[in-house]
Amino acid sequence: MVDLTPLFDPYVALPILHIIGIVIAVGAVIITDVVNGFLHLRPGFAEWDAKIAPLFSLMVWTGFLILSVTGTLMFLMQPQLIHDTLFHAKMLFVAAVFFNGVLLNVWITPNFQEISEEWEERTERVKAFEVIAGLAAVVSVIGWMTIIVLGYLLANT
Amino acid sequence: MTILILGAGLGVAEDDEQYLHIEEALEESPLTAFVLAFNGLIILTSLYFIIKISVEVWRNHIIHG
Repeated sequence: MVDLTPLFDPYVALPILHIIGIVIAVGAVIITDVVNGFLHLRPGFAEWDAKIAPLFSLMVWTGFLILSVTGTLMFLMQPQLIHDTLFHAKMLFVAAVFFNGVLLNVWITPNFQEISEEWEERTERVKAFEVIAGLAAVVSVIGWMTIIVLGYLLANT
Repeated sequence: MTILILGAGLGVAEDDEQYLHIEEALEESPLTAFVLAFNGLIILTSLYFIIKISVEVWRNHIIHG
């Protein structure tokens, strides 16, 4: 019989839930970037991409919610983290990824849905949009990967 | 998943000593309050976007099928 009692220990349960949150959020970020990269090669998929993009955003915010709730609880259990420089660096990257996510949802996604019909024509508007969206995607991927590395170092050093 | 959530919630609620640590941390560094407030902002923003996007997706599903 498998012993599940360690799962009732918050020092075990919270990190596991935190990792589940990372998997959901980072998985959605990566699939969004892969689909958008594919869109650059096959512009005909723009309208289809615009329709499913909100679902990926939903996944990212769900992951963010799990991460922030479990992260807050873990911080409450280890408030001495506030003196750790690694924790400060991690929170800075969390802030960068968070505000980047807000920008994506408030400006980029609505604009993408608006210009997706003219995507195949490669207008100046589409090209300018692609540069801004590409930058946001780079910030997102680098930010999330750095958060994972810093989180691992925080837990293991 | 349910076991994990229950474990996390019950464990935190039962740990009385942690409140002392938090009070100390709040006294020692103003960053503690900032981190907690920032996490609260992320939680509220996430909830806002989850509800907003869900409503939009559902509305599009009803309109366009």
